[in-house]
Amino acid sequence: MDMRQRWYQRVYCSVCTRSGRLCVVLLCLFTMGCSTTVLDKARLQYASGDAQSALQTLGDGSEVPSRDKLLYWLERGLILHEEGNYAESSRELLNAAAYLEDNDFVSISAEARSLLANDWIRKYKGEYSEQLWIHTYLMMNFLSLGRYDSAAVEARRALERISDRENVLQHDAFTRALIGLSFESAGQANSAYIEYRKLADLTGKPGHSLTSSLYALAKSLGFDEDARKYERQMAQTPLTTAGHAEVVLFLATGRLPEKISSSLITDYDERVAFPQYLPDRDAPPVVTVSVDGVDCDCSVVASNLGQLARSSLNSRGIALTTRLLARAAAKDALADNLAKKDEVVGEIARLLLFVLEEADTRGWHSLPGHLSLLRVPVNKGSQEIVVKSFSTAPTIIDVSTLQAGERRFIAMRERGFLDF
Amino acid sequence: MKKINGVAIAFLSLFMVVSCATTRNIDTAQETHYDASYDFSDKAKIVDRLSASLVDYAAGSTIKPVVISYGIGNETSEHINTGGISDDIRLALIRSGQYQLLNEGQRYNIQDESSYQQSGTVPASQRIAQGRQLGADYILAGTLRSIVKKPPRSIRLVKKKLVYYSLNLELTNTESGAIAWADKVELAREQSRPIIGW
Repeated sequence: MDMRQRWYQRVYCSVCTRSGRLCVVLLCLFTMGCSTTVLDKARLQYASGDAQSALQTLGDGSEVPSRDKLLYWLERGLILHEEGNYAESSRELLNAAAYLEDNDFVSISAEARSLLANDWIRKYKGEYSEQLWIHTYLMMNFLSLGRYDSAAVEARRALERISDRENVLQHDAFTRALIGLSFESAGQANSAYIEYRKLADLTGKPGHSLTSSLYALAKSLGFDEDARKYERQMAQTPLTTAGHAEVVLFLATGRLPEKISSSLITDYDERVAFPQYLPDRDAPPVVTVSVDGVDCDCSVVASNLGQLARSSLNSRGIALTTRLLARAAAKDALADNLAKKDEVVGEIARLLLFVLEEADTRGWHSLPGHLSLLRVPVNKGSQEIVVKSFSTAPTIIDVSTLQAGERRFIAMRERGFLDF
Repeated sequence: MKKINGVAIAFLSLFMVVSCATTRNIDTAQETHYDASYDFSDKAKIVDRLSASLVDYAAGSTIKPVVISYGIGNETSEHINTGGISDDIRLALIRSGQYQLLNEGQRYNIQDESSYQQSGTVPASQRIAQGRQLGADYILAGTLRSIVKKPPRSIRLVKKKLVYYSLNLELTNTESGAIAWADKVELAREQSRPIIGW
């Protein structure tokens, strides 16, 4: 027997011993850890209002595990957006979109590993709603940068996402309004008209701003009958100000409800853990807008992101349950197998597998609870817009430099009470 | 033991092959696609077909029409820099010798340079004459569009996607507003990707 054969034999023998088997089980389980320290630290810093430190902590992402790379781009993209760095934010969010496209397949290796531990081992690919909101934030960024063609590209990508999961995502009125606005700003009248009509059907009662957009687009496209219909509707709800310019506010309020791990104990030593969202933290925003002290009759289109995220999670309930059951069966089989060879090792493995059963509660934490789009018509010579809400001090926007026909996009975040 | 050594060698060789990074030059005239999205081969095809059609349109004319390019709008679901298409078409028209192209992108620079020369810094004999720029006879503009189609959701092992691109280009007479020439290029490609991977 040469040296190499003796070495193989030694390794085999050590694995066959009780301690060896335990070591293999422990090694397998602990390499499947679920720590995302950098992301957690950055989120805490962001929640305490220190966005710069959060960005610094996130750094170049080299310390973020590859399975959480998407979350790195999402958190960084949103923080940069709120810091007003739209170009950099777009780069990060485009990386996130490209990552999703590249990883649009089921990884056998990750699925096999997750069967023995939990879903944290898999690459995070986001809830369907989060996948859509990548494009929502990109549209806001590109509109703010004046890159209307790029905003329209993102609008089309958002439409593809919505058509993939229509039953859930079609209820996102804010994104739908943004899609219409992106097409309208890019001069793609036909597409804008279609999306505004869908938005009018979704909201049930379109405001004056949406009706006037529909009227103008119908007229430019030669849809005379439709134009007359919208003209009649506009006459019923006259504007208090005849706007010559427009300020579009993207108002983000509150925080997305927390995703937690809930357990179902099936036996004294078996349990399955599944993710669920807690109830909404924040009430829908109550916002009043005035132009030079006169209350604005501006239309508001809002989405409850918590509700959409919850529906997205529920929509993959069957796939989630199937995986949970498969994992429970695999863990049981593994523990039984080990117990046949060594009862103590089997029981320890069973205990570890029980402890390790944890639902994947990863998510895009910096998202707001609600997104509202307000279109504020501004008269020639107007000086300021005041945005008031219940939780923070009024925000004053200077509009004295607005040119005739100009449309200005302003993104605002009102976080209210943060309770990380 | 020999069997184990053989397997180890096979794995090692596989790893070495996988880890080797290579670069190679690609002939730009050769059609190359990695997926269904827009790439340089598509751009070359679009530019070749449309510029040839435009050159044909002016063939036999004794005067060189003055054209200004107002770019190509992007109505696809990809971030495509359509400036590359209009630049290459412009280049092909200049090379054909049958058109005169105005440089819209340099207008403000020309204005600045002209004002600087008139400011008294440059001797009168060397100043460019003002009011001598050409007026455009035609505007060249177009739109790149795409339609992405996916099969209905069902149990399958591959994901398929059909992408259709069309570029419509028009030459509009600036005096009459009539469209003097129009043409289009259509491209369609199907992509299929496995749903399961390692």
